Amino acid sequence: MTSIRRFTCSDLFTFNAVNLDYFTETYNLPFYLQYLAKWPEYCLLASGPGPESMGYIFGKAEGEGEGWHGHVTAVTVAPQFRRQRLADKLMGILEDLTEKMHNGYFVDLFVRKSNNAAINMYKRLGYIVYRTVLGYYSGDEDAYDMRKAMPRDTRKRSVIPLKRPIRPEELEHD
Amino acid sequence: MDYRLTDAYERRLRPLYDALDAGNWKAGNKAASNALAKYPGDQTVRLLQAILFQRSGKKAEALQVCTAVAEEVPTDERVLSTLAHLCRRLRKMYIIREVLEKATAADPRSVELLRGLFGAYARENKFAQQQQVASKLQRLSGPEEPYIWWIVCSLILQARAAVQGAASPMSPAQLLKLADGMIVKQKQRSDASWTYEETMLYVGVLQAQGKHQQALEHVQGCGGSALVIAAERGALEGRLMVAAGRLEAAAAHYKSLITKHADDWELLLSFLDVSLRPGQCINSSEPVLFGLKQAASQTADLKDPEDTSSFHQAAGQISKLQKAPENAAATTQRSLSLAAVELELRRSSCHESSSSASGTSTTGNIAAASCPGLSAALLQHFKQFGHLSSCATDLKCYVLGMPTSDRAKLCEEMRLALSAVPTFHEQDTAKSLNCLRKHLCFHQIQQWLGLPLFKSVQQAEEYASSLVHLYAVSQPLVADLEAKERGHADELLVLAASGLITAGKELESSGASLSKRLIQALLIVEAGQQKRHVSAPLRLAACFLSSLLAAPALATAQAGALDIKHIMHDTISGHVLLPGLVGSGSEDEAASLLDDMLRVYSDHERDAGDTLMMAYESGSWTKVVEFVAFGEQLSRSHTKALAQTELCLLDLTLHASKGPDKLASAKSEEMAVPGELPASMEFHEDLSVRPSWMPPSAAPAPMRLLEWWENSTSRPEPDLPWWIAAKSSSSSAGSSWREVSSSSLQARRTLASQLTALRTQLGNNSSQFATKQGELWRSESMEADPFAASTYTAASQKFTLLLTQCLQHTQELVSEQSSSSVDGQADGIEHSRAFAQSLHGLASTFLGLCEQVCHLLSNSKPEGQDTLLLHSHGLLAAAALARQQAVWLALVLPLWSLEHDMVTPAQQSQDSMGQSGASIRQLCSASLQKVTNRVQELLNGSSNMQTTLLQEESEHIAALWTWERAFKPNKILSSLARDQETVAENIIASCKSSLGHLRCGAD
Repeated sequence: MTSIRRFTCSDLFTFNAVNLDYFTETYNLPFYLQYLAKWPEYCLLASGPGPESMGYIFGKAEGEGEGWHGHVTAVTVAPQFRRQRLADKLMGILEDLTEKMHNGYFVDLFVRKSNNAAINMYKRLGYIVYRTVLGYYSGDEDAYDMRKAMPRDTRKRSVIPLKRPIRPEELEHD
Repeated sequence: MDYRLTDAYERRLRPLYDALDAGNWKAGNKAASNALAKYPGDQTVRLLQAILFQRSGKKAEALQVCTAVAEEVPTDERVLSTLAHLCRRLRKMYIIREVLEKATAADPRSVELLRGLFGAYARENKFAQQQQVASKLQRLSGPEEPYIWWIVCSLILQARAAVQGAASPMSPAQLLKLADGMIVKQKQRSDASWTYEETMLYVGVLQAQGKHQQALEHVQGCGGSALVIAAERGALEGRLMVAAGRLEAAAAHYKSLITKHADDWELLLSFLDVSLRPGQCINSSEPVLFGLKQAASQTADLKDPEDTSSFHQAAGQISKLQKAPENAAATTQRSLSLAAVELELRRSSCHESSSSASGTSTTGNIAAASCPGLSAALLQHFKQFGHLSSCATDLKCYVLGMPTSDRAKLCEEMRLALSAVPTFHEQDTAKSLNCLRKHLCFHQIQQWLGLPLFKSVQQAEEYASSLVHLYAVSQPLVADLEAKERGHADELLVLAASGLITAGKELESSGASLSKRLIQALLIVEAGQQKRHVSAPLRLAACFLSSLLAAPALATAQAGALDIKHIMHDTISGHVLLPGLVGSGSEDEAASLLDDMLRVYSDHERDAGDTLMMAYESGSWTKVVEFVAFGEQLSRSHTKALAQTELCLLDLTLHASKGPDKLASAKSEEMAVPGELPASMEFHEDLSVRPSWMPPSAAPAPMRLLEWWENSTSRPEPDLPWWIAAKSSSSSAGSSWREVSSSSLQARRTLASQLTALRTQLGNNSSQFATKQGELWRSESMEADPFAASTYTAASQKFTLLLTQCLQHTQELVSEQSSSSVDGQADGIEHSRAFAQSLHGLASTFLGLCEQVCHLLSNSKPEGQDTLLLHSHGLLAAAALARQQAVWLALVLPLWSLEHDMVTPAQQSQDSMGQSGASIRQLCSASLQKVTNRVQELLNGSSNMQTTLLQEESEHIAALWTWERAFKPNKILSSLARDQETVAENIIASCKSSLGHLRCGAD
């Protein structure tokens, strides 16, 4: 019931059904344009009849050596289109691109420690809690750094969990 | 050794950078002085100090340093980047461009300087110049570097600009041919395979030249491998086949694609496009330059509407897919079921088009004739998928396309289908949720169909109670949801509120009764927000309701909870929040919102160059073109033009309210001056966020809420809420709204620019003031008459019309005075008479206006309920009067003081009206005083009113909010009352100020 295509600037005018939601952050324009300029393949929109914006994903490729990976910056689905596995589909495409286009070792993402629904979804998709990032979110909430290994990481070294929590300043990437 | 490479130099600069980071201007200046003492004239230090100046508000000093360093034509990379940063902060990017032009002229082989110059041209959309720089870079760096693609992009952007009317030495066709040749040559030189961006850019260039077949061959050949998403590649191939006129091949292609991707909605639509309306597909064969149409299209050759075989075949294909085992998944079945609905809509619009030749799918245009097929398909989809939370949204555009004759029947059939569905399962949460969603879907569709029709308000209250009851019963189902998540049934409360408002608007003539319905509705949605703190449907409904109830602070708080910011200002703020603020005279809040709105555009103008260069440097060629187009879209935004205009008028009003002298003496920099409106505006407004009872208004922003109060819908055939459909912009109602909005804004813009021009030329001498007024009014083209009632009062009645007439009389007055001053004494008597007549016209309209406001404030005065809360309409009208009169008085008072000299007692006696300026002024004062007194009276009586109101309401329809124990309706009513009191106090203050000016003039 969905068509997935690359996100365009014009979609910023029609994504309110998705963004009028507490858990979806609306960023400033340079944020979106930076992603569209640098990683257009990782910015995808799901649209349905109407056409209505159903959800989208923004991601990027970053890191060096065995740290080269795909990163999920934002994945969100409009409230009325939830529980239809749309986020699974968007995540699947991003993983596919990480593997086939960028040949990354893993995909990672950050999620609020309190967001059980999202954490469970990511676990269902094969992600593990790699480490905890203390005070990552404003308001001092901790984040889980979750990861899923890609086929290139044959020894699955990228998904050996770290026991020690880290501080945001210790993160390798912004 | 260059001192700038030493550690000592870095040590001197460090405190300066630290001070900038910390925002410590004093320490920064000290560090700058120390560094300059050690390194006199150092450009980096001077520029850093200039950034300190700029950030501490000393813009002139900053610009002085910027210009001085620029004249030295620096070439050092660090100096240039600091200078660029400063120029960006000062919004003077041309300075860095001029420096780089001189620097590259002096050092034409510096790749770094040339790249900088390319970026400077790109920031200013100087496409031809950037192409020349890219060519130099390419010659210096060789074919391995990406500069050839920079040239190609520059050529495409020149072609786009030429298509849009920009002067160009080469035609778009020549520019595109050049780009085409360069791409081919570049790829022949290289062994590298095509990237996605290269393929899409090349396809775009080929399509722009009408070479669709060649584009198709490219995608089917070496270029296609870059498109890794199979459905995306297939869709592109299909579009190119259609564009190339290969319709049979396209039909077969799409048929094959939907077999593999039966849940891809775009592919299903394309399949129907090519199967049912091949004639329309021919339109897409015209050359399109990255979204811009270049030439007139071929005439569409519509399929014969009597030819039903194509519909039969398409239906057969969909039915076959529905039965295929591989398509058993629910999402795929839902997709195919909706495709059957789409097919029926097209079948009905095809019949329509046989007479109108304009059948377009899913646009919300209502078919006139009965469409049993569409009804049946909708019903079937509802039965099968009504339990999904997206069902109503999926069906929205189809429901809005239902012919009037079929609506009631469809509704009844859906109700029947629902009768077997319980509202709650005691033991099974999942089943309960499905049942709840199905009920919600039905009620949502029912309201979109303009139903139910209420015969009495009591009926509407019973209806609202039943929806609220359903909501209350469903609460255990949301017990596990976090407070910030949207509840499964939040929309039920919005629908309950909607029923009350619709009934109140249609059945109750008294403003007080309608106010009561709005308060009931607000309490319902507020009760829902006790547990669901940021549910958008509830917050948006509460925002509109608060605005209509003249409670701007509550409305702002509701919108604030939704965190509407950045680009959402462009699509939401202008039509959701702004009318409530400017319409209730909340100047400070309105100014703050307008600043936030305008910052979206100014920040983009400042930052767009950076992200554009990111696209060039990342090889995202299609994004280069897209970013330029996006910048154009934002610059032509209707919301931007609206915000600029309202900010200017707000400034003028604020100054005018302090008296004509203050208006005249206001410094230019204190007031924003709007420029010309864009030739064609872009409407990005997301109207779908508006409730079905709040149609978008095209009236001037301060009068939009008044228009809602004054207009009533006509039954028995209700208007469907066309604006809630995602594709509303393509409906005829949407076009009409945009057209009237444009005229309305043009009129406001002309008024703003005329008043601004007038203000800047005012003198202290009142006769000079009057002369200047007249000259300016006369110098403007009458075609853009800001007072033409027909432009923005077409849909409004009574009060808004009177407001406009006051402005018209103001114009007449100053024109008469001006011509009198210009023509001298010969025609003095004639002019005096005309002047007196205009003065009387203004006075009589003003008196009528005051009477109207008093009437609205006194209308229907139930015993014990003479409170502000029930006079929202009157309060909004009084706020508009208070806001506008400041402008009229500022404009007209100096003329009135001249009037004694002009209209002699002898002439007055000949005048049929026979009143002197002084007595008119007294009359106006008395009327204004009456309004002020009435508002004051209501304000005084506002204490305890909420308790009285609630007592009555509680007995009446307690079920509407008593289900939520934590909810304290009195608390909401108190906030509402406080908010209204502030509005009332502002009105009184503004009226008193005007009264002071009037009396002062009389002396």
